[in-house]
Amino acid sequence: MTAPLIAVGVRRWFMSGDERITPVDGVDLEVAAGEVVVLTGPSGSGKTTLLQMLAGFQRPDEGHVHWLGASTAAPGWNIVAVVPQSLGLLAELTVGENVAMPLLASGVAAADAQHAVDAALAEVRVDHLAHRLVGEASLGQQQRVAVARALVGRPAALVADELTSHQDGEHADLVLAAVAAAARAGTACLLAGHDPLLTSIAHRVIHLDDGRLVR
Amino acid sequence: MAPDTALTAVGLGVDYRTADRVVTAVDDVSLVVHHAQLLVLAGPSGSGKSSVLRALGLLDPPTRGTIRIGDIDTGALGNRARRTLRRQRLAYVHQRPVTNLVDDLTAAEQVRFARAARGLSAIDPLAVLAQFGIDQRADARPAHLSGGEQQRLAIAMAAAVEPAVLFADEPTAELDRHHADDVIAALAQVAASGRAVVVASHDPHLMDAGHVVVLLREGRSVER
Repeated sequence: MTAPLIAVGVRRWFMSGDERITPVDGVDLEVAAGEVVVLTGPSGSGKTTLLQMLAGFQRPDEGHVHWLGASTAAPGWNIVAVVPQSLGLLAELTVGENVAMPLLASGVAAADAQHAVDAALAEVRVDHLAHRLVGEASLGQQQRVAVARALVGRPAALVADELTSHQDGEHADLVLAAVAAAARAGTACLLAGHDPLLTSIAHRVIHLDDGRLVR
Repeated sequence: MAPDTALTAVGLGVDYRTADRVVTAVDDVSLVVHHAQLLVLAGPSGSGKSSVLRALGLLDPPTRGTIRIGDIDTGALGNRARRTLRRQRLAYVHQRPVTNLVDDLTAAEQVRFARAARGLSAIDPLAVLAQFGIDQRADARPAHLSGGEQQRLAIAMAAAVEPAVLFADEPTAELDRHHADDVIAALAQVAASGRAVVVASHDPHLMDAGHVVVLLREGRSVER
């Protein structure tokens, strides 16, 4: 079976004056269905740029990213769901509405979406905030809302950046349990970050340095 | 209706159902907010301020009464249309400064992000930040801003998306007097630029800055 998330020879570069800067310099990567891969690397190692390409937010200058074997301009959230560091929640929508968005966008009926949304919110313990605007929730709660939104549609792949950065121990465990459950259900998970807790659910840890995978 | 009317509420009522009875949180509140006007919903805790604000902000449909945003009767809208109207025409600033912001973006990036998230064209974020006296903090991330600066940034972002109405819930409650007054000036600045601003607050300085003050007691508006 084709892995849900595959990068082949991915490279991204830009010019700074006369100098060519290559934040991602030829990365080959495959995350299989049900696999959790943790990506580490110092700041400036190219992690964020690589994640952006794996999420479909940026196109590589060379190489390809394949989601479910296809290379499309903008994969839907049912294919690759993202938890960016900036969370990307919509401030004018309630917590519940934010989490419903990927489902409604892919044509799920509102009543069916509601059940899935309730379950996703409860899983990371933000169900009591369903009718609150995002800004009424703490940053830790907002981050869990972003996790719920990513997982609600059972995506083929998950790309997450520092997804426990605002969580205390107990809530970090909740978030990781939700990701592990998604993986068991078949989602290919790529988690970038430095939290040692991440590696507790990882099948594999890879390290990016200077734009290249070093192990 | 006058063309300069941004928001009208007539006979607003909000009931909550508990296990064994119905509680009336808001009863027969009517108000009008014009463009370029700052309206303050005042009153003690439990007076119904938040319920009125949530109804006006199209978060909870009122049990009774009508709310018009511009010339749109919001009672006739389904959930999807209400969401869309909120996303296109309304903006919110919340009580805790930091929760209004994206923590890994600089002040200038937050303004760009707010516009981009609404599909609006890019504008010079420095010009927006300058209106609120925080342009010198353009490259700072939220963690390096004071609470007052964070809140002014949140107001700058809300104003930058050119909403028909900007709502703020107790925006000065977590700030010291000096920073609170800066935030009040920022809200007044948004109104002066032509927007309608609706704020729930029991801060007396904010009430003084309001063009209109609606004083609530036990869910009803009373003369001040």
